Amino acid sequence: MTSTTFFVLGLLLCAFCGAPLFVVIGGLALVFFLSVGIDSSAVVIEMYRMASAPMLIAIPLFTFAGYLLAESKSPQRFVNLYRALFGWMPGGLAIVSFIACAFFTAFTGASGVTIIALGGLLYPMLIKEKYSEKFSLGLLTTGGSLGLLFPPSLPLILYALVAQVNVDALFLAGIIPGTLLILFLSLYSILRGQVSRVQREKPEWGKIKKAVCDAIWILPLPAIVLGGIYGGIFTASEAAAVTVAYVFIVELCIYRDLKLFRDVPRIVSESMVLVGSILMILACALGLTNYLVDEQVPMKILEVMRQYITSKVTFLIMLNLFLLVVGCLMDIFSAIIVVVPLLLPIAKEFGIHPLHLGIIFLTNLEIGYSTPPVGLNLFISSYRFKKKIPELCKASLPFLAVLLLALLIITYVPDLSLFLVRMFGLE
Amino acid sequence: MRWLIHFFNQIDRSFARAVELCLMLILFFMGGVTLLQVILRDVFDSGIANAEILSRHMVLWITFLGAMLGTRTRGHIAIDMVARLLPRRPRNALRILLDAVACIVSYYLMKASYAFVLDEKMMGGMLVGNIPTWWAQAVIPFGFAVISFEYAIGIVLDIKRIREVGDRHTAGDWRRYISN
Repeated sequence: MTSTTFFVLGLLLCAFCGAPLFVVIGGLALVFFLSVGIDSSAVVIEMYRMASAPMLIAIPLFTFAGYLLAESKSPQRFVNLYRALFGWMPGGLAIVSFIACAFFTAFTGASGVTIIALGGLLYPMLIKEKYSEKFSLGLLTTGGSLGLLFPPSLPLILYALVAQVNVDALFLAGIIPGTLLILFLSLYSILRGQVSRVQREKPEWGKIKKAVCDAIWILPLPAIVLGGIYGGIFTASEAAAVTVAYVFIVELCIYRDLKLFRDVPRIVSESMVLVGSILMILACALGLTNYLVDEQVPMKILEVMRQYITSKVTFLIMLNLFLLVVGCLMDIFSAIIVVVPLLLPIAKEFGIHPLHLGIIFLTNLEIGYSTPPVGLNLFISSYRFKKKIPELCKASLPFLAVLLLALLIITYVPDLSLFLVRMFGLE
Repeated sequence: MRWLIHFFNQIDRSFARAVELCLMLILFFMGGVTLLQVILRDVFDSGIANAEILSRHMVLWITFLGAMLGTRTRGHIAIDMVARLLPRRPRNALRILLDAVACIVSYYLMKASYAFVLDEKMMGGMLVGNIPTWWAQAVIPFGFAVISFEYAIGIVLDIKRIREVGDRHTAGDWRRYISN
């Protein structure tokens, strides 16, 4: 065994035992560069490419804005509003939960904040309205990553960055597939709501009016982001700065949920630790993927694949299976950073649009969030609701089945992802 | 020994506060400049030269400062299912071993980035105006140095604590122990 193989295997073993992924990826990059006789400072030259990506500015800003929202009382306002609007439907509260989860995930970047911020709020409500415990736990666990296809979610920005596609186009591509996921889950909940005869609320004008007035300041947020970007007023990374300013003013000056000196420093540090750990992996991976692409690893994989896979349909099936496994083993950020550069050239050969690939990729990983053994949502739910992981897995299964069905449609109907993109002429 | 731990605790806390403060200033400055840019362009049809270059380098700083804080609380992204499943004693041993690997790798990344920054300094490129590029890049070796050091200190304190109380200690949790 050469020393390179020894180090590579050792580092991979460390990864599976729980070493920080940036250490594993950075270590691999160092070992590979040294093995082909390139000075190790070349790894850092690749790392420094980070500072040439303008889109990256959006990541810390959107994450901070998302954390501000999640830490305030806005989740409560949001839930109240949608409850007043949809509470009368069978499965109404479940639908409210999906919409609220999607909204907060889009802004907090599927980092587990959704379950922490909304779980404690929605779980007692669901139980009170006679939804079964299993159903409520499954809903909130899978809901924790619902919405990562909606702009301006962190995984979308990261994919656009890594795959070098237009982020404005990718934001549009996610809207219909994301809505489809919510729609499917809502239909399932309506069905379940009818079967278990959950309580419903009568719509009352007074309540609706009060809830609208309460939430009036957070409602325009998606419109500001999307309107600004597609109205040509600002770019996606500038939208992040506008969002921070807006949320900051709303939460500190209008609602006064948060205090400048008491809460803001804590929220900055919590959110920037997340940003630091994601971007650190990105920085280290820039070196590694550069080596892998230089050594033509994707092309070598492609050659092998060509012997077994000839049609686009078989490729897509294999892609889904592969990504589901990736989603089970890796968290979404590292998966995007490491797997996308390898997958992209292969998918292109099979005629898959990079934007469509992004949506397939993220939908798969969204499902992977709630699958064992490393589904982040399972751990956060387990921590939040004090339940055992196997119990949560079982509770999530029906929801995962529904999501898988939607995934198949998203995968085999590319127009769902590309329709809006074409309409805006951004393809 | 007691005073040494107390002293280290003080340093550790003040350093963390300082990093937090830097993060806050950088984040607000970056957000502010970007916002100002939008307003200047859309309303006054002008802009700030080089604002974007500065913002992009601030992301670099946020990354490394955030990662330093993340190391302090062992908050880095990892696949830690194996460690979760193990009983306390082998888990502690595994965590200490992984911290050692992290310490060594970060040390070599620090060395590599130090060489990179020295090269850049020799070339003498300017980022914006009179600010040399290497000033902005210096956060890379600094970050890796702090991270490597954090892991090293963690290992020493974990081992010390385990020798004192045995399996009652959870490796990686030494910060709570030194602050008591």
